[in-house]
Amino acid sequence: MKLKEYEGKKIFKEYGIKIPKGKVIKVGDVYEKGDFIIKAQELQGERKKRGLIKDVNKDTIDEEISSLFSKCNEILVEEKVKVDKEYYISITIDRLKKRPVLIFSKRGGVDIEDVDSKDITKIVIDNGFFIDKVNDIAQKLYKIFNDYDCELVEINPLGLNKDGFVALDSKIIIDDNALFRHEEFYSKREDLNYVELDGNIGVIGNGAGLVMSTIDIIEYFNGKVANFLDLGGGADKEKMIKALEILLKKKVKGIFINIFGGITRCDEIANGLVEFKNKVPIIVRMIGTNEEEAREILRKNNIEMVDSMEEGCRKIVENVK
Amino acid sequence: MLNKNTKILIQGLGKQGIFHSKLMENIVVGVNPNLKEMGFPVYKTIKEALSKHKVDWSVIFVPAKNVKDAAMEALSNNLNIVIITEGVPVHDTMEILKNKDKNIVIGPNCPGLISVDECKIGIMPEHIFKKGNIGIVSRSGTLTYEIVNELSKNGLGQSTVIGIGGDSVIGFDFIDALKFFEEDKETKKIILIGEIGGNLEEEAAKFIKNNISKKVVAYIAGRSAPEGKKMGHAGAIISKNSGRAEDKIKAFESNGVKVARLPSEIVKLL
Repeated sequence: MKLKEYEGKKIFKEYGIKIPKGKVIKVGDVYEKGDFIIKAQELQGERKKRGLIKDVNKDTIDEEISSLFSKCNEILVEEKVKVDKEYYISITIDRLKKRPVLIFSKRGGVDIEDVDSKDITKIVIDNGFFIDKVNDIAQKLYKIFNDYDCELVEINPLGLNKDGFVALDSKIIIDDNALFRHEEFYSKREDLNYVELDGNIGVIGNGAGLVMSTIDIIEYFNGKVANFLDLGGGADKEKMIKALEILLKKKVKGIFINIFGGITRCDEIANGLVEFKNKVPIIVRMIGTNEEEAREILRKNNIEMVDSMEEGCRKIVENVK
Repeated sequence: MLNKNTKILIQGLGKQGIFHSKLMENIVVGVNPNLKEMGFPVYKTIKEALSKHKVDWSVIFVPAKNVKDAAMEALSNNLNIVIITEGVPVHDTMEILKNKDKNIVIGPNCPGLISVDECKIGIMPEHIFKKGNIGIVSRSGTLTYEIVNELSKNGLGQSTVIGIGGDSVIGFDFIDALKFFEEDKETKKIILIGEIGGNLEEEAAKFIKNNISKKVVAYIAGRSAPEGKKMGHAGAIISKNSGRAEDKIKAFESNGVKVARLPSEIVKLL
């Protein structure tokens, strides 16, 4: 789960990391007129490039805030902090080392992935590791990283002036698997098993790898997929109905269902499917318990059942053309 | 790694644990907070269980929030572990791996492994497998079954099939599996099933070039996945500069590993 800049900065402040003075406003909220930076609070990156961060003064602030509210719901109005240098610092997870790593760069204010590796220091944290120059802030970041089950805690740019370090931005990503132990964020969690794409062929399967592969094959046959939807193990009639309802809201032109389950009750799934038989073309490929019963149910309802995943992908693309 | 004499302990006798315990022949004992009536003795702690039974591996079905404790308990009793559970916080996984010492940790979020006709640990549907000499290592569950099914239908049997799991941080990974398959007399060819996210496939590709003499064929899922979205698996996410399917495919091809475009192509490439 990605936190918004102001949410992350609130946590920084609680942990003793300096942040610029600021206030988050919604449409209609009162704000001071002055020299500020106004920043749209949304989760996608490159806000500056997209015109979502603006320098304002008491003459331009009203117009700029109005204009910015046409692009977002929350704006952070912040004091301008003068800094002498900008750095980059973050703690993230190295999937190869299977450990947290501290990343520090002398080149702040730019995308870290564009920075030459010679300007980056990457240090594996084994038991709490100290770096002389950034000792204090690294310790605080690491504490946040652990307390909040983060996948990433990033400050870019990390400004430095005579008063010390100040976090000019904040990027925190909390592990979705850990949200159950972070009450304040738990209610806002997203469903990982449904991802909207921009095509018109619905895909339902059981197993993330299988669904990804199904999508790949449909696209290989020049179809355009509308979504990723993983039913997970033990799919039943209710789950299938819910899944189909989600897809039909999206106005798909056809649906391919690919289930490879040792224990999945195919006849259950078939019974869920028949309720949708006249809505859009549906092609089914199911392997599991009670396959033959399922085949009968589908045949009676004129829903096509195929034997192989690739055949199903090819056919749904044909049907939707 | 496994054979007919491998003895398994199961941790976690909730709905899933109970169901799958009935499909694993090598289970000799169970551990659960509440004692349950099963076809094998059940204890409240591993220590108790081990005082009366000899065990090699533990398979973990406990809920995600309890996996760390269960895994630590198993590791401190010197067991190899297979963590089936999905949804384990990544910080917990890192803690578990920090403490694994010489023991093997497979998973989390994996279907387990099977040495065909010898021993199965996990939830893979046994009937699709056919004994042969192809070793398979995969990040996926049902996609693996799909590919195994294709192979079996074409008369190409499997030696050992290992599901390493879909999370971003996992224990036993591609390189561990490749090392095992290279040494394993039962395995003559290897299939590697990867997906978007991370760079384990890229590291495996380099490792194959320098260390593996047996033929390896790869398949990568997620060519069409958009950037920045987790595709079902916690570890299946493309970031700005890493995790793309095409980079993994390039890495394999440039290191002499053929990559199948469709699952059905795997048979041809073998």
